[in-house]
Amino acid sequence: MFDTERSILTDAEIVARLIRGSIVITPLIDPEQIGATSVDLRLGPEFAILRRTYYGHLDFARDQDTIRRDVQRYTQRIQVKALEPFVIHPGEFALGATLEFISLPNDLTGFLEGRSTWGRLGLQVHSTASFVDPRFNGNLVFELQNVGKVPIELYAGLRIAQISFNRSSGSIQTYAVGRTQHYKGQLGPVGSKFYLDRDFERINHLLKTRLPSPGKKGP
Amino acid sequence: MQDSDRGKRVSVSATSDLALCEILIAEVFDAIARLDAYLDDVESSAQPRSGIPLNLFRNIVRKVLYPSLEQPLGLIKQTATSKTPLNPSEFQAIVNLAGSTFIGLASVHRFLKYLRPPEPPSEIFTLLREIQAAFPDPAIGENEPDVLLSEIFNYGEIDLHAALEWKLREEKIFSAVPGEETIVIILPYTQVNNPLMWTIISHEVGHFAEKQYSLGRKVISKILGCVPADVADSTELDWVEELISDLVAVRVLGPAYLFSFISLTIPQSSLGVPSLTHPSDLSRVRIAFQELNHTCLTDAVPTLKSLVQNSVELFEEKFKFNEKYLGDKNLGPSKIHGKPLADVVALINQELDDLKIARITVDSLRCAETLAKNLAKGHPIAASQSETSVLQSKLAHLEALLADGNIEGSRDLFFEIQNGMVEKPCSCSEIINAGYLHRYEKTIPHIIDRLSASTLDDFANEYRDELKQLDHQLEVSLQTTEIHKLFL
Repeated sequence: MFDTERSILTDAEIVARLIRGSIVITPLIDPEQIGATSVDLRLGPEFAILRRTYYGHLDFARDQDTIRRDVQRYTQRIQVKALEPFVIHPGEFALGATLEFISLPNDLTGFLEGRSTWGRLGLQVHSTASFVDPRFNGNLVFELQNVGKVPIELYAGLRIAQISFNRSSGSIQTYAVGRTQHYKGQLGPVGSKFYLDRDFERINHLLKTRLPSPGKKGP
Repeated sequence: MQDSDRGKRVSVSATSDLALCEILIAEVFDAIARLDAYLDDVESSAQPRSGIPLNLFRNIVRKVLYPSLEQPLGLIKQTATSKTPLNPSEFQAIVNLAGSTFIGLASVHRFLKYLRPPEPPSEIFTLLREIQAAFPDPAIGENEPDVLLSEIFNYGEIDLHAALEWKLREEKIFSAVPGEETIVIILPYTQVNNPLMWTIISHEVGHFAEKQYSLGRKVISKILGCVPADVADSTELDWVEELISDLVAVRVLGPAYLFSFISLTIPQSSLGVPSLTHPSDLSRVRIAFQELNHTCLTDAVPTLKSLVQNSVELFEEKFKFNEKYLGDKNLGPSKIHGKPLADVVALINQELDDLKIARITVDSLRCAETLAKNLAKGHPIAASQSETSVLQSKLAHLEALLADGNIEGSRDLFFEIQNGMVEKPCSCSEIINAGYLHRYEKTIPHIIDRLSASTLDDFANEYRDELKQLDHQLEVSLQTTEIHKLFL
């Protein structure tokens, strides 16, 4: 019935997928959220900012569990109430998350983008990660940055982003069964889990084995 | 006696399959894991550089509390492996061991005040506002309580005049202080992130409402024909106040309140006897159960109905042996004022009906049953979709039009479908009832399954993460529903 040659889902296709439960976007608050080829996403009430005063750096040579705790301590969660603003100043960076919980099927890839309305004020919703793997589920995390010149007041529930869907049937490694699924089922602005990457483990191991043992003096 | 005469299942699927001693172990294990999760929270959020006290508590969890469950768990495993039912003394031993661990846990709890508590999540206030909104009289919501953390669940009033009088007189600023009492709701430290146990707040709000409308005195005066001068300090009034608060909680939150009450009291080693201030736990559970059966627990909500029934049966199993010593069939210990509790409950219900407190509906409980399925999939459960079958048939029609290339003709139908897809926000009571369904259908059976399969220590770490994830799922649901309501 639909033209499967087209790569991006149209509004009617998105609606069909939502009704049949193959895509989950909840809560769907307003019918206008569904555009011609995308669905608008709202800002959730939780944010995470970096506590710059606690640590000078994250020490890659420490063990994985210690780094996990360091990252947690380095990150401060902020939760705004309904109708309470979160102000992002020029040059500031914060993590936010979608209000909506999103779940993708096996044959779709999502693309997160900002909305022009907010982009014109200088708000970026992602810096590097716009790509959502098939079978991802959870809140999408915003890498919020104000690249404009004036502070921006953000409120939970504002439609600041949108997601579109591309067909990608045939992938063997979906997010649910892939080797890396650090953010599967994530709720709220979950911080980086770089310490779970295999490459990081390797570097961590090399740093530990090459460091001089305590008590030995260098040349 | 309540021995486990069933063979041990490989994988249990619902609480109804569990015996009382297994429920006790699961509840105690869950309570220790919750303490552990709280310490995690203190460490990561409130006190990143905490040292000796935090480590001390961690050691108590690892070296005392979890190991104290090994012996009762061993007995359960033994009976499962040998397929021999527990004899009455083995059963009693398990009950005692679980009970003493719970007492140990409660003593640890008293010293948590030495750690800096994290800020209570704001979702507590979302629930609080919903409970207050069940009262048509806005006076109930005007005095928004604050939430404090302590050892127990409680309701308190801080009277600034009374608390500061000596100082204020000295400073001659007495008149500048407002005379109103500030209402405080007190939560135990380890329940601060557990939305399921926040339901006890509804009982505490019930106390506020009782005071606001002098409901207890009204009921006493109906019983006696007058209010005696010494009624303020009487056990009779205290008991009536407790029953009023229980009935308010059941009206507003439904089965969730009864579940939380059972969850709180069943692991305790006490005999559940009445005190000078409270009727016995058994009477309170029975009254709440009757109330639910008369109102919302119909055949339209079969899962909830059977879970409530099973939980009450387990509670009866634990406490019924003591029934003849409870002595609270009548109101209070006084022979003069003695009145059957059932009659007192009827009088209270009349008063509550007059206040027009909103009751939880069967539809809400049906919604909770649906939401519990989504919770099991890892979804937050902030909103629910209306019936999709109508949308499905309209969608089939739309697809047929599009297949014919009739885009113009399909536009109105498309907008109609789009409008029908909007979800409605769930209420806190729906979310929390769904949370309890999930707990009794999945979490508690899962604990017993895993406890019999792995070492306590291994499972404890894994379970603590699951516990935090589920708490967070419920908190996010409560958070989201509040934002959702802004756009209605």
